[in-house]
Amino acid sequence: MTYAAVLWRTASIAIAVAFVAIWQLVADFRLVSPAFLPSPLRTWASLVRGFGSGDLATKFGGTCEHMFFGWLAASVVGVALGAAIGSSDRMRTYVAPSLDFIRPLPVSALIPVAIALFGLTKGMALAVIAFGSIWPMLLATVHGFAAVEPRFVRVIAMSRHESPAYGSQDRIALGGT
Amino acid sequence: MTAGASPGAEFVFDSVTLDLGGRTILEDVSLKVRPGEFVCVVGASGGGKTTALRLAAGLYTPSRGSVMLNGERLRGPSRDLAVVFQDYGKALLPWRTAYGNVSLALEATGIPSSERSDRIEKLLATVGLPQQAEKYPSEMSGGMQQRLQIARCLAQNPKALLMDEPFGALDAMTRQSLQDEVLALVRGSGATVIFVTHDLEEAIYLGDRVIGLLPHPGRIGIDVPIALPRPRDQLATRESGEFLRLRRELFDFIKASEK
Amino acid sequence: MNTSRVKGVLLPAIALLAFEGWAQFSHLQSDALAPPSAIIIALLKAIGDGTLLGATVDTLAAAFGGLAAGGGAGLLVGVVLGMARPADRLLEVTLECLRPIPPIALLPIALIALGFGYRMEICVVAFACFWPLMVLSRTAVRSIEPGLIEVSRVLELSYLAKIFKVVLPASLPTIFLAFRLAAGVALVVSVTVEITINPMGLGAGIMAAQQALRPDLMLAYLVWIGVVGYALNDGLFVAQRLFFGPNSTRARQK
Repeated sequence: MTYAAVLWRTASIAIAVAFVAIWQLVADFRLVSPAFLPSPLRTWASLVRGFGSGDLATKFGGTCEHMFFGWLAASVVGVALGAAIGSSDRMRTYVAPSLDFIRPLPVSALIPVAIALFGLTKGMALAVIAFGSIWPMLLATVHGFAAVEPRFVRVIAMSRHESPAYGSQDRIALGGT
Repeated sequence: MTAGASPGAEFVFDSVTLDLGGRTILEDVSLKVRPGEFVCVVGASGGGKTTALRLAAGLYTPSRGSVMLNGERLRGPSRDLAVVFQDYGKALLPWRTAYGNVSLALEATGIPSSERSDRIEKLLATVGLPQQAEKYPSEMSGGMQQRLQIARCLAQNPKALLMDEPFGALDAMTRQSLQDEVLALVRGSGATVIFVTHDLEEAIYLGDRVIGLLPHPGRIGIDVPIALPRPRDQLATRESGEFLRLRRELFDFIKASEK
Repeated sequence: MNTSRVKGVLLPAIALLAFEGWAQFSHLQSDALAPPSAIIIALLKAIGDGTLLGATVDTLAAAFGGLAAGGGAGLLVGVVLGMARPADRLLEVTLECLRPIPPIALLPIALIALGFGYRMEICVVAFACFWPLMVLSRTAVRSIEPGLIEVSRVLELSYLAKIFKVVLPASLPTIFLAFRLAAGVALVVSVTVEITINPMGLGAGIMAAQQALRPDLMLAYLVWIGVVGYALNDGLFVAQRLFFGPNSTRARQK
């Protein structure tokens, strides 16, 4: 970073600290009831306690677990589905409108359905998380596969003296994404 | 556009040096432009012609030395100094019609809307866009857009008209008719003109004086008075012996400066 | 053009028919699933007795309230920060620390501070909608054609005149896009707040149906929420094309 950039970053950090200081002052003078706005010091003490002797660490680990496995499931399914849908024009025509309809659906609306299907289990949570996170992966993969320059496919096919087999197209597309 | 309405501005560059991005663009440039003079600035690419113009417009401030406008130090852009930019597409508001674009200059000077429409219609007619008030810039040709920019500049009632290669992007025929139009517009107004161009013949045709800049860093290399009679004529003037002599002189200068 | 539309509807139509057939054939008894015929009946009933539409109005009122408040504030801050680089750099750390907070994480605090109801939901939605508007309008202002800024300098336009005559009109297409994106966010956050805690609107409706072991009503709500989300998205997409021309939506996902 240049000298000027370092200065600006330091000033910016100072401003952030100033805001925290104002927060502390507001709490000290009880301008807002402590039930609504505890002071930064109390908040920090709580955080330390939670990780030290409390269950904040376990809960944190739990959320991380949910995030990771949900993301993993979403990635695998997203790429696989996206590849299947994107590499075939016909698939896209049949499937894309349904995807377009499902995409704006608030994922949280599925929570009651998931609860009804799976109960209040970890599996339910993972299912909802995966469904929510699948969209970027799915759409990007569909796009990537669909946008592979058709000439690449033809060149590869001609160089192998065969019509574009699923395998060769697959490899180009994965490289193309 | 009566003679006394906007007396021309006087520019004095006093040992002006401009450093930008670690490089010296202009070095120790001193010159004086008299009120009402039509000065053309030529030079090899990258020689600082545009920079000199922007200094005169107040868009840049000199690193050393000073730019004086009518005896006072120029501190920033001013409505008295109208700038015609080379890229007309980026200098016109695409969401406003021709009428709206010219109106912007009048709105800036606080003229009430009741008085504006008359002046706008007149200005559009003056620059040769009589029925185009409702057209958007995207619907106009390059020549028309540049005319529109000139109309907006004239709406500022400027003491000086600073033009940065205004006809560079236009075809030869449009260029020639716009050259004559600019001469006609400026003749009655008394405004000072600083005209930057890479076209030597254009510079000689239009100017009372041609200044040639040497590149890297920009310095004044040559300052040639143009004694050709006015009004100028596209055929007669360009064929005259004096014109050809001047063209040779400037051409040699540019060739030498590029070495 | 028409055949591909038919093809698009074909897959879901067949799936629904198959599901209906299987549900009837196997005499489906479930807390989670219901045959499409039952879903449709529940949907029509809920519309008929006004509950569905009432809930829709509740959710949309909170969503748009939050969008207006948060989006408006985000627009203001974004324009100011876009025009004043120093202010932007000074606030960078503070804003970048606040931005990643998931709006739902604010629910407990919002609940303590404001209790149940519209106010709390609007506040949480506003927090969520602030960010896309701030970031995008800041970007839009920063990427205005520099030539136009020079013109406003030469004309010596006042600060306010510059904003209203040049900066805002130039940034309008991006600002509208930002509102479009934020509208989607507003709906999602509203429904999530309602599902989690707030006893009003569509989210509360679907949770109530699930807890009452009424899968047909629950799925009816789900379908309706999907319809509302889709219609909102589509409507704004069409509006953008209408106001800003077909080019403004090219190469951009809906």
